[in-house]
Amino acid sequence: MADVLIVIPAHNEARNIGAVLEEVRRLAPACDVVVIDDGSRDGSREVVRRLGVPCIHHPYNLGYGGAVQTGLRYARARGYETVVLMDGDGQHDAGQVPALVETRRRTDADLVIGSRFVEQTGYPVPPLRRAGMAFFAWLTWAFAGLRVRDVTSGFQAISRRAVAFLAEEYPLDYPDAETVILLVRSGFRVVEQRADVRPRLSGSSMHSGLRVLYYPFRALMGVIIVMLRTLTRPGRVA
Amino acid sequence: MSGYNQALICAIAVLFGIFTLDLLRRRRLNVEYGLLWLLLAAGVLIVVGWKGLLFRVTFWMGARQPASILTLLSLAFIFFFLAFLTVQLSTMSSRIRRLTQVVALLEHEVREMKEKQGETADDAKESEM
Repeated sequence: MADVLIVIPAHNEARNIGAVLEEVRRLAPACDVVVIDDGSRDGSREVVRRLGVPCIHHPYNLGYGGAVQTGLRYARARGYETVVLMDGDGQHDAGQVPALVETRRRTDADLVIGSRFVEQTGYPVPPLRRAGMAFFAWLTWAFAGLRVRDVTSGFQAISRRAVAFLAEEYPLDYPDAETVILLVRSGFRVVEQRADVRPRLSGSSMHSGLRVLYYPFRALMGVIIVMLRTLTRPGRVA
Repeated sequence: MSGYNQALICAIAVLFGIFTLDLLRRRRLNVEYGLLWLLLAAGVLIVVGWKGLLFRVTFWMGARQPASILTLLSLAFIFFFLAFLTVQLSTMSSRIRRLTQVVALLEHEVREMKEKQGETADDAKESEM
């Protein structure tokens, strides 16, 4: 068993997941991989199993947070030292996993965020989404005292003790800023590192359609609830 | 409120109580929810059957019509019940999500074990040959 587990949550990613897994095998061969098939109806599970990669299948869609949490519970049960979260749509470069893990070990951070904005990576972000990201980055600074440039990045490396914590506490639906604030306010260390992100190979993002309108309100509510919880439960976890 | 109206509302409350008890008997309703509906039926019987109480409450609350107080109490009950149901629904959702995750993880473990057993059986066959 390797020290590092790559968790890939996937929902209807049959067209992308094969290429993602091939790239992981090629560029991060020292890592174990597990795909959390979050109730896909397009045969994603079959694609993953055909490639001989472990696949945990949800019988129905639990959402991104639910899928990540299943992956974290799997990692906790097997005692991995570091868990790397990667999207199943081909946006994240598996070649950058070793650097993310190395940063986590070197800094002893509990969460390393693979950030598109630490340096100019040329990743195109529509103005409205950029405004939303800026708002949540400001919230993270205001409530956790931490400057995070790319709070919505799903490319992350997580330490064993943060995995144990998040396996129970991982926020559901849209966990971005909520997770960072929760971790910082619970005494975990969060750092950012440059990561290049590509446009998804095919299909549409979970932040598309009417969900774009719902997202900021849900995420803001999540942040407020995290604040209330950490205020009423002031003891640090880490 | 006329005596006729009073009798009608009381009859409805009694019938509703009997209906709730029957649902409980047939296990179509859990006791925790049934108890709330029975309390509602009892509350209606007390407030409507005991006319003096309704007038007194109307006076205390500064309302002009007893019907306003009945409406207010009904709305309060509906809001309370909806809040109660939302909490129950959220609890159920969390439990189902947790169960789904546990089942998915266990299913994966069973699959892994079966695959390992299959490999062991294949190895045993090969060594026999």
